Order: sequence, then structure tokens, then C-alpha cells
Amino acid sequence: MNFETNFNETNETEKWKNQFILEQKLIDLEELIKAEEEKNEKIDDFSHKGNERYYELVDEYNRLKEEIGESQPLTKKQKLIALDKLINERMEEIDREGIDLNYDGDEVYYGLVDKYNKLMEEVGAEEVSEEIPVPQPMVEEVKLEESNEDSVVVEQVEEIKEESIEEANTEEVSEEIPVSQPTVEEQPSEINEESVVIEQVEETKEESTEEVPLINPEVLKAMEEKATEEVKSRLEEMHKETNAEAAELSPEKGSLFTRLKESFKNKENQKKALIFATALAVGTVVPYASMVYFGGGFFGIGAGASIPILKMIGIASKSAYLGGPLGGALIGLATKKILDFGFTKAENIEREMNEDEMEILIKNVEKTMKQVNIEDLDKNS
Amino acid sequence: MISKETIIQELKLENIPNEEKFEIMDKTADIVLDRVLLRLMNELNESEAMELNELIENDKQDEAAINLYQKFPNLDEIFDEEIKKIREELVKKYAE
Repeated sequence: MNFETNFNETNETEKWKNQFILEQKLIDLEELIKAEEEKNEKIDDFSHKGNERYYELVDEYNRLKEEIGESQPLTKKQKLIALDKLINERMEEIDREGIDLNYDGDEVYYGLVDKYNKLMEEVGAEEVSEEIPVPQPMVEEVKLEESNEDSVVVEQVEEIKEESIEEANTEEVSEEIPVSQPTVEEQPSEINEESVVIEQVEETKEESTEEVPLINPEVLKAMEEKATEEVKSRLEEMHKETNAEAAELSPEKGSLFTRLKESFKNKENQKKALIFATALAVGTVVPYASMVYFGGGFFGIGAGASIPILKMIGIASKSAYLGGPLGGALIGLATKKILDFGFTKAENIEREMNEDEMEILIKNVEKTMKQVNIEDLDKNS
Repeated sequence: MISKETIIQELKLENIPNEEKFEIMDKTADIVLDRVLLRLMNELNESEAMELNELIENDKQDEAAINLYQKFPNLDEIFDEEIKKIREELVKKYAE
């Protein structure tokens, strides 16, 4: 990706972000206007006279509409990108301002995350519906890749049109299209391609509508539940297999196995880190987890000083837990960079970091968190 | 290797409740840890295991960590491999 492309993409994202903010304001304003209208209706004043607030809201609404102009409404994917940017910006603000982030403490951040996750679910559901296989229609050689009926029809129109033109030119009339037969025979030069096409389109459209199998959401849900149970049951089997292997270890090794496992599991954050690593195949998170598990001494990070980093993991993990993969991936990348730093320090000094070193480390973490973006994911995938 | 998709997405289970997603990730993580530890145990000899046990018993976890990382400088890779294996195994069986 060259600089110019990067720059253009950044501009696009910024544009979408701004438009997203305006669109959200419009939605809020619509609700406020509606509320004012309902208030007026209750007092039988449909003219809204005397309700200055109503007119202020309407003016603001019109002003925003004008600002948005004729821009196309954002697609869901553009909205996701816009939201992602807003979330990152909010995270930066939280870091910068030292805002204490907890679920009840920052409505802006969690409001954005909730919107992001809701939208992700919608996009996910749409992608599932796009994957519904559509049976082969009456026209041979037409390959249907989408369930979108209109696009199917458009594709077929194009093919049928081509076929009809070809037939007219060669004066070979297909018996399979009886409607066009007499016209072609009598007046081949005046063949009405469009009517043939329209008729076939109608037929195709009817058939497509009839044949597209609509998966009942209940059935889909049942399928997912079944798959979930199967996965869980397989995991249970794997767990039993590892337990059986562990049981065969010598007493000394068995004891060490249990100690390491229990210590690791007893610490909430490193377990969290391992879960992310597993979820995203980001193995680089794990040494960090191990580092905390072993008390942090090896890498020179004292227990108290590691708290800001854990807090950051908490921030990024929130969205990953709720379904947004980006947060988890970000922390993976960020952690790798933190570790690079941590390893160097540990190898060189093998002692606990002093406050200045800790400050540098924390700044490095913050900087990394800001630098990591989607392009980084591409580079690392 | 960073996967852009979570294991949940790869298993096509994005629409299940978050608690279920978490349970699957949690169990998977447990198995990864078990398998990694088993690999380490199988590579350690008895006296090394004893030494590590003693260090942990005496609350010298830092030393135990140094010991373990010296013995297994490729610990990250071991984790990576086990994570990869379990993902592949599940995805191959349930999502293809």
C-alpha cells in the first residue's frame, strides 16, 4: 500500500466518521422532534405555535440535512469503520485524560462499543443470509452467486438479451421460446427483443421467488445450537484426553503440572490473555500472560506497576469479549510490541524496572495502542 | 500469525449468545494450556521437574520462570503451535 492510497483511505475513514456523527445527530433530532410533536398533540396544538423548542429542533435538523447534502447514506460496513475510528479516538482520549474506565463510568465508550457490536451482528446475519444457496434457475449456464433476487434477474436479463440478439441475427429461432417464434419468422428485422426478454424475466423472477429456500430463523438457531453443543462436547473430550495424559505423569511432573496450571488459572488477567490468544491465534499474547503469572519479576515488571497495562488489556478486551474481533487483535499486536520492549529490558538488566523505565514502558504501550490499525493486521496476517 | 477471524467466526458461531462464545473460548484456552504444559512436562527430566517444584514451593516463582524460559526459549512457539492445532482441529471438524 503506498502513501497516497493510505492517505486516501484515511481521508475516506475520516469522511465516513464525520458523516456517521451527522447521521447519528439526525436520528437523535428526529426522536426529539417526534417527542415535541407528541407533546403538542396532547394539548391539541398541532400547529406547534409557541413551542420554540420544536422549531429550534426543526431548524437544527434542516441545517444538518443541508450539511450532509446529497451524500449517500453510509453502508453498514462504512458505519463499522467509522465506529471503529470513534472507539479508537475515545480510547486515546481516555488514556490521555486518565479517565477511569469501567462499564458504568464511560457511557460514550461503551455506547460506541454497543453500537459497533449491534452492527457487527447485523452484518454477520446478512452475510449468513447471503450464503443461502440458490438453486439453478431455468436458464442454463447462469450461475447464481447471490441470493439477491434483483441482481440475479439483472444477470439473467443480460444473458437472455445476448442470446436473443444472437438468435435474431442468425435467424435461428428457438422452439423453446414460442412467443418470439412467429414474430421472428415474419418480421425478423423487427424482432422485439425487449418483450421476449421481459417475458423471460417475469418467468425467471417467478421461478426464482418460488425456488429460493428461505431458512427459517428458528431452524438456523437450532442448527447453531446443535453445532455449539457438538463443539463443546468435542472440547470436553479433548479435556478428558489431556487429563488422562496428565494422570500418567510421574508424581513429580504431575505435581508441577498441577501447580503451573492452577497458578495460571487463578489469575484472571492471564487467563483472559490466553483466551484472546486462543480466540485469535495471537500466540504473542501468551508470554505476557506468563510474565504476569510468574509475578512479573523475570521481565522486570513489578506487580503494582503492571496494573496500567492490565487496565489497557481490560479496555481492549471489552470489545473482543462482546464480539468485536478488532479489540482482541489490537491487543495482540500491542502486546507483541510491549514484549519486544520487555524482553530487551529483562535481558539487559535483570532487575526490577525503576519508575522512569516503567514510565517509558507505559508510554510505549500507549503509543503502540494508538499506532496499531487495520493495515497492521493486514501485514501480520 | 494473527488471525483476523476469531475461532468463533471460523466455527461460524457468531450468532450464538455471548456466554456460549465465552464458554467455548474458555474451554479451548484451558485445553491449550493443558497441552502446552504436557509438552513441557514430557520434555523435562525428573530432576528438572523437582527443581522447579522446589522453587515454586519456596515461593521463588521468578526463579522458576527464568528456569523454565531458559529450558524452553521457544515457549511462545509452543503456545502458537498448540493454539494452531486446536483451532485447525475444531474448524476442520465443525466448520467445513
